[in-house]
Amino acid sequence: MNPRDLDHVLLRKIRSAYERARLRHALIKGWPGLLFVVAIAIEAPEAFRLLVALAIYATVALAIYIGGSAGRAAQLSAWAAWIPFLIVRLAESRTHSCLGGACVSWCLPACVLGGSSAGGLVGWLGRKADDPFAYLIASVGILFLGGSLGCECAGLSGLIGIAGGALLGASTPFLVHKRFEAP
Amino acid sequence: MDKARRAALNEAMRKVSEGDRSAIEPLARELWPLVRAFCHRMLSASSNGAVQSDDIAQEVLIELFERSCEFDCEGDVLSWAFAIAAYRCRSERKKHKRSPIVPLTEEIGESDDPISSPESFLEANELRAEFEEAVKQLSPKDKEVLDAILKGLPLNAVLRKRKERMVVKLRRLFEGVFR
Repeated sequence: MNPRDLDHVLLRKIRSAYERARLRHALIKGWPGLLFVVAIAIEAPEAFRLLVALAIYATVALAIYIGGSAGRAAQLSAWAAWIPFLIVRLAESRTHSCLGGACVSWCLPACVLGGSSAGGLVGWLGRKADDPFAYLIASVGILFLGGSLGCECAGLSGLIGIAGGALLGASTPFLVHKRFEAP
Repeated sequence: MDKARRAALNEAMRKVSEGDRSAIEPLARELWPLVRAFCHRMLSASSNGAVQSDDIAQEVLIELFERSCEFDCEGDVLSWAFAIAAYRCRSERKKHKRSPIVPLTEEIGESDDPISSPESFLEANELRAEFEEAVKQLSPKDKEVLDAILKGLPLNAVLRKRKERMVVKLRRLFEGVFR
C-alpha cells in the first residue's frame, strides 16, 4: 500500500474519535434540556414527570449528536419549549373562567396556543433548513415533551392539543417558504 | 494549493463539523498526504524522522476530526491542521533532544568484531578501563545523570545542567588519561 494513501485502520480511528467527541459535545451542548429537570424537581418531583424532563434532555442531546438540521432544531426547540411550559402554568393559575352559567377551562386552549406559538417560532427560524423533515421531527418532539409537562391538566386532549399545535405551528413556515420564497 | 480546492476542503470540514458523516472519508483522504508531507518536512532532521512523521501525522488527523465541532466556519481547515501539526512536531523534537534515540549498532565500548586484531582488542580494553576509572571519580550525582543518559530517560532542567557539568568533568579526566 502506498504510504501516501490513508489506510482503513487510521480511518477507523478517525471515525471512532469523531463519534466520541460528538457525543461529548452533544451531552454538553444539550444542557438547556436539563433545565426542565431542575424545574420539575423544584415544582413537583414526581418520578414520571422527572422521566419526561430527562427525556427532553436526552432528545436534545441525541438531535445535537445526529447533527445537521435536527441538531439546529434541537437547540432552538430546547428554549422554545419553555413557551408552552409557561403558558400552561399561567392558564392553570386561572383554572377556569365562568360567564353566566357556563365555565371554560383554559388548559386545552393554552396547550394549543403554547404549542403553535413555539412551533411557529422554531419553524420560522428554521424554514430554510436543508432537511425540513429532520428539523420538524426534532422540533415537534422536543416541544411536545416540554409542553406535555403541564398539558396533562386537560388529559389526552391536552397532549393532542400540544402535539397538534406544535406540528401546525412548525410546519406552516416551511410550507409558506416552499410556496412563496424558495427559488 | 488553488483557492477552489481550499474552499472545497473548508466546505467539507464545515459539513463534518455539522454532523455529515459521509464527508469524513473524502476529507481525511485529501488532508492525509498534505499533513504527512508537512510533518515529514518538520521532522526530517531527526534520526527516526520518517517513522515519527507518519505517527505524528496520524495523531494530527485524529485530533483534527476529534475537534471538528470547534471548527469556525470562517476559518481555514488547512491552516488549522498545519498549526496542530507544527505544535506536535515541535513537542516531538523537544522530546527527542532530551532523550535522543541512539540506534543499537552504536553502543559505546563494543565493536562488531572485538578481536579483529590483538592490538585493537588491547586498545579497546584499555579504553574501557580508563573510562571506568574516570566514571569512578565522578560524584554520586554525576553518576546518577550518566545512568539516566545511558538508560535513555528524559532529563529535566536540573539534570540537564548537571549533565553539562559532568561532560566537562569527564572530558578533563579523559584528557588526563591521554597526556
